Order: sequence, then structure tokens, then C-alpha cells
Amino acid sequence: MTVFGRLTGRVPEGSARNGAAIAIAALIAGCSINESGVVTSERIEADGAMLYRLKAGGIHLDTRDKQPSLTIGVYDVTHIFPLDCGGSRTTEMKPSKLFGAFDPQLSASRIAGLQLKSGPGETSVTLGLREHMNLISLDRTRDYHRILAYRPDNPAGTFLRINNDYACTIN
Amino acid sequence: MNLAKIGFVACIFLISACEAQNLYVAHDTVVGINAQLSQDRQKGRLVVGYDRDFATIIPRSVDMGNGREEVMSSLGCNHIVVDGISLTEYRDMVVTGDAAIALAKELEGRGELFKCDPSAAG
Repeated sequence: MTVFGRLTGRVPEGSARNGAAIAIAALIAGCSINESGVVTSERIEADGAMLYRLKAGGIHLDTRDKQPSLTIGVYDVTHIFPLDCGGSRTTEMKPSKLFGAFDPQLSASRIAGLQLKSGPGETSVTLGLREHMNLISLDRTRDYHRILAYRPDNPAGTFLRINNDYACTIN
Repeated sequence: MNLAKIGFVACIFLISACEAQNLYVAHDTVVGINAQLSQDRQKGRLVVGYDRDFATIIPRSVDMGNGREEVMSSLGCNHIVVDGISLTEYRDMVVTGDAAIALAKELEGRGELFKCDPSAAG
């Protein structure tokens, strides 16, 4: 009790309140939902593919994924779409339209921190580091042909070929 | 330096509890704590430490429309390179349905086997 009193006694008046305010401000500043908030998003055009990459720190809510997630820490995800889908160029689509109409051929995410995830197929809690990659889920009755090459350290070098528009209008 | 280099050709995991409706490929690495529940919340998994999984789920059968069912036709190759705990490269070539049957017949006619080299097929 004495130690606590001495420690707090050395802090200038109002600093605790200011510190709390800064912490709250930092927390708010570090909040993001999909592409909104403190988050960086970029589109990378590659050979037959468009990579949609999103990086966020702090608290991030992702509702684009099949399993919506809440991450506290570092969140880095890359979605790979065909460059052209049904005559539409994916580089020019708004994210809401893009994810509403098409499923990514590949989604690769990396988180460091705490993540809560819940949706079709999985409900999970992670504390630490997690890398997850999943490919598009293919209907067993359909004809499909895809060739894909992806290197996270060279996203512009991604190569994608698919046989028809079904592959990108699977939603 | 690559700590592991894994190549898979048509890995098949038969799902005992229910039959898969879709062809599905996934890779997952955890360092730390990870707790998962299945969709029906009947199965769970707890990882403490390090774990890496790579899985391909292939549906066992396809309804041919006239009451007949056949094994799903699929030719596939997945190539994964990891460095430490990080995925550094992924390549695949997947062919399903009639396209897989046509490719298999074409390869048979040429006396060739399915080459697990997506980069060469590009």
C-alpha cells in the first residue's frame, strides 16, 4: 500500500487520467473494420490475378471472410481473385461488390495477437501466431481447371489461370 | 533456408462422419494457443505450442443425375514451400469433372502421366 502510494505520488497530477485518455485514444485510433479505420489496403495486379491485401494493427474486425474474425494485434490478409471475371475487371470493383460477387481463389492470412473467429466450418480462439490459407471451395459436380502460383514475398509475380467464369462467379 | 518442402499429389482424407460436398484445400500453422470447435460443435481441438496442418478434402461421390453415383473425377497437384513457420510459396494445378476425364484420356493417348509441375503448365 505504501509502495503504491509512493509510486502514484511521484506521478504528476492528472497524468494517470491523461495516460488513460491516451490509451483510449490509441485504442480507438487502432480500430478498423474491413477497409475502414486504421488499415492499409492495396490491390496488386499480377498475371491473370488481382491480389487484394489488407494490413491492420490494433483491433480489427473482418467481415469479408467466410468466418468473420476479431483480431487484437497484427492482421495481414491477402485474397487472390481472377483479374477478369465475367467481363468485369476486378481491379476496378469496390470491395463490397468484389466480395459480394466473387469468392477469392486463395485467401492467406497471418495474425499475431489474439483472434476470435466464428463462421461456417470453424469457431476458434487463437493467442499467438497463426497462418491460415484456404483455396476456393469447389462444387463436386462442376468442371474446373485452375493453375495457380503464389509467393507472399512477391505478390506481383502471382500467376493464375482458370478455365471459365464459373470459377469466379461461384457465390 | 527451407525447413520443409512438401509436395502432395491428390491427398485424400475420407471424412468418416459426413461426406464432403466440395473439394477443399487448406493450410494452417499455429504457434501459441489455438482452440477450435467444428461447425456442429461436436468436435474440438486444442493446440498449445506449434502445429502445422495441410489438408485436401475430396468428395467421395458425385450424383450423375440418373440415380447413379460415381467417384469424383479429379487430377490435382499442390506444392507448398515453408521457411520456418512461414509459407513462402504455394503452387497448384487442379482439374475436376469432365475436364479431368478429358485430360486423363489425352494423357493416356500420349502415353504420359500427369506431371506435378504447375509452373511448366503455365
